Amino acid sequence: MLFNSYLFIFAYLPLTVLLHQILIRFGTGRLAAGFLAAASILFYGYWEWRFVPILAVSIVANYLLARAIAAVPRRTPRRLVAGCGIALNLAALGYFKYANFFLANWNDAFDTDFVVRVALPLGISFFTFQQIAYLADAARETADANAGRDASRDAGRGRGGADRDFVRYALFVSFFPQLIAGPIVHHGEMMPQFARSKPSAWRRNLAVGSTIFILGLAKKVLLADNLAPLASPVFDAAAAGGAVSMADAWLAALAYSFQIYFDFSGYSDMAVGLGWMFGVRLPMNFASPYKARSIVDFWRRWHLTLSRFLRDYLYIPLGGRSRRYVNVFVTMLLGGIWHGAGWTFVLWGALHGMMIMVSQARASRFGQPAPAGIRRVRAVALTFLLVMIAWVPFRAANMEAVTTMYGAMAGLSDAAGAAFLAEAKQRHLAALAGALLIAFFAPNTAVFMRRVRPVLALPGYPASRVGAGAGRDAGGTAALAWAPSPVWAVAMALLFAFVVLNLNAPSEFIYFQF
Amino acid sequence: MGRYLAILLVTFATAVCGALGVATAGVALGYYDPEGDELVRERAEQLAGPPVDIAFVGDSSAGFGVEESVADVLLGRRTENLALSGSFGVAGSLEMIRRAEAALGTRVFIIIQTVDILGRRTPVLVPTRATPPEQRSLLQNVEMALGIMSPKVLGRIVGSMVAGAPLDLPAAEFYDNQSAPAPLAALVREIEPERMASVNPDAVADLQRIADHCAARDLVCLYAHGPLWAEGCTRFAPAIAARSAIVRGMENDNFHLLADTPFCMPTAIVGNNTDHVRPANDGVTTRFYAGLVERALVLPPRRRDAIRKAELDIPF
Repeated sequence: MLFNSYLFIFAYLPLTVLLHQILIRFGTGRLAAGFLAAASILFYGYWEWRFVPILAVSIVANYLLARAIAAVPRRTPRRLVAGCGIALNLAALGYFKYANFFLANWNDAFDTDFVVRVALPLGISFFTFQQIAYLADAARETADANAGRDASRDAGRGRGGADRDFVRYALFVSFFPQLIAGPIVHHGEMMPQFARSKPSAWRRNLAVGSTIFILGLAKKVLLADNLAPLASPVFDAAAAGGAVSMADAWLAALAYSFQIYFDFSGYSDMAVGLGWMFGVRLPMNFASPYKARSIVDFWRRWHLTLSRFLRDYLYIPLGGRSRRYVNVFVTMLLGGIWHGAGWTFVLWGALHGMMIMVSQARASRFGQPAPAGIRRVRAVALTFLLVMIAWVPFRAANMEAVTTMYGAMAGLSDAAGAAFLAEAKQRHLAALAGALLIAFFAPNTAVFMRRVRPVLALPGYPASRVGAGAGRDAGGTAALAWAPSPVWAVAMALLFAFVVLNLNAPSEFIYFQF
Repeated sequence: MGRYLAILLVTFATAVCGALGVATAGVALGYYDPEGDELVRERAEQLAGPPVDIAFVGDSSAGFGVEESVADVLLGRRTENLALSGSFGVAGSLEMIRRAEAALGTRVFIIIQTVDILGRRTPVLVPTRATPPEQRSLLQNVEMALGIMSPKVLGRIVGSMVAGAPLDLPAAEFYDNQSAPAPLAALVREIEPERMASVNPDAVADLQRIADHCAARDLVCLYAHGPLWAEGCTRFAPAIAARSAIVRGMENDNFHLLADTPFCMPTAIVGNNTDHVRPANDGVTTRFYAGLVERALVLPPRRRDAIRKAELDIPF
């Protein structure tokens, strides 16, 4: 079920919110949590019911592993159990996500003909990472920590101990707003909120949640979906072995840069809005990434919860700053592979790893003064240019397409003119112009909604701190701020109506494939 | 917050109901091109264009499944997708072959029909602007309005109402978007088993007419089953084989069945119908069918921009 479908918006969501509210008001919190977990499994199974057992096994196995970790009093064996659990998770992820890729490369290298067709369960990268983080955190915490108290204490750090309540654990993993494509949440961030659901706050939760959901839906439907027709034909032609002109290649790279941003940030906004409807604040996942002044800054603004995961569970365990150039490169390389089983994703990760290395080396040598004025504009433009160039392998279907696209962007293509640009529809070009203006000059959703502090800030990520007075820090425009006024209600309703009328062609979110 | 929510909901409901009212009025008063009309208009515009080397005809499975810009690159020829919809039946494809040959000088046709087309009672009546609005019930008008409601269409309707007559519309983009307001996966329309269980003699006769026409006009015509959801490929494998046998029985020097079709689509790229690919993924299906065509026609290697139409070498 897609967030941007009629079925979800007008049937599943209202019904789930209503029943959840009834259970909160007249039942118990645990009953409401159980209902929400069941509804989330239904949401997941509606897409493809055959993947439900995989999700269920993953939840049960990790719950039991966490219980086992909590039962071991000594630190070393506890870490050993956690290590085994993490290895099991990685093995499952490796099998489902990389078996086909591995065998294809093995067959190419050794001229063999092994065939295994493994279907990729939806969202497996996200729920596996979430549970790996949980096991690692459980190993670090007191073994028999009370989940609620522990989570409350650790909420700021995003840590949590082992949870004894299976229902709440199942909800933590399967909570449908973030199940398929994140944000990747920590146990400690979620559990206290599930425990604190207040029936009296439903109006506020619904008002804020629906507003953020509408904004996310608009990003997806009006911007991202209208940018795909500018990018896809060019990348498809390149993948098919056709020639692409320089102008078309740059146009496609530019369009895709904004398509993926508004697609994923739209999804993340919708997830945050949906979380609010159930009284849960999710962590911030985007903080105006295209306003970043360096590649390092970009990764502090783009897909923050993945960055946090890679930092906490890969970069730091690898040794962090002790061998930072190697560690950051390895981290980004693995981050690239996490996105997909293909050499194009490896290349994308490697490109970002190298760019971060260069950025850090430069900062070490010359210091990192906060650029201002024209230097700031230059820094933002250069960072965006590099990010845009790096998106090419991320989007390309194969390495042949990457070569074609890069060749064309470098002016090495035989194709002249701009055949695809010439056929571009006005509304798609208007969407590109709108996306550019919004990405560079408008406040992001968290800043726009800062009066209600809509998202959880992430420690170590300055741009994620939003709230009154923090708009500039998060790259926003201070003047534009949402308030629960009639004017904003009418504006949001009209935007919602416009988006709903444009929903004739719901399309999948790019990050669902990861 | 309660007032905010109330205003938001009331305004939203008013806006949507207002839009529906305008759309219904537009449809009822004949100010809107129904889908069939829009599609035919789009094809008419294409038929007024420059010469085409290879034309794809068929139903919506071809309409969604073939992207000309990719096919141009793959085949090194100027191609055009002239597919209509299943409502026009096989007869619609024959009509497009005739028109494309006459208007565009096309000599090579790829006929892509969905697997159940020979089991349909077609062509069915496609409502057009010529259909008197009074012949449609209010419910039909509302249903039609619901099906076509979008800001773009509403803009057209309002513009037409202001002008007092249907507007001359810009080029349509019928198959650039999913036209049916169906959410993905869950609501995709399944192939109706009864259409696969039996064959409609009229549809078979229409297909025979295409085979005969291709032979009579010395055209090159290649027939392929359109893309289909992989599960449908499995479920209906015997029926698909039977249909292939029917087509193979009609083969002559100018009319051939392309083997290895339908293209069985993974769930991830299925659109709003089990035989529609999502528009964003039409490159996948185009590559598949263009590859079959390339092999069947033994086209020269790529980089064919400089190859003139006269060099097209057809081995049949």
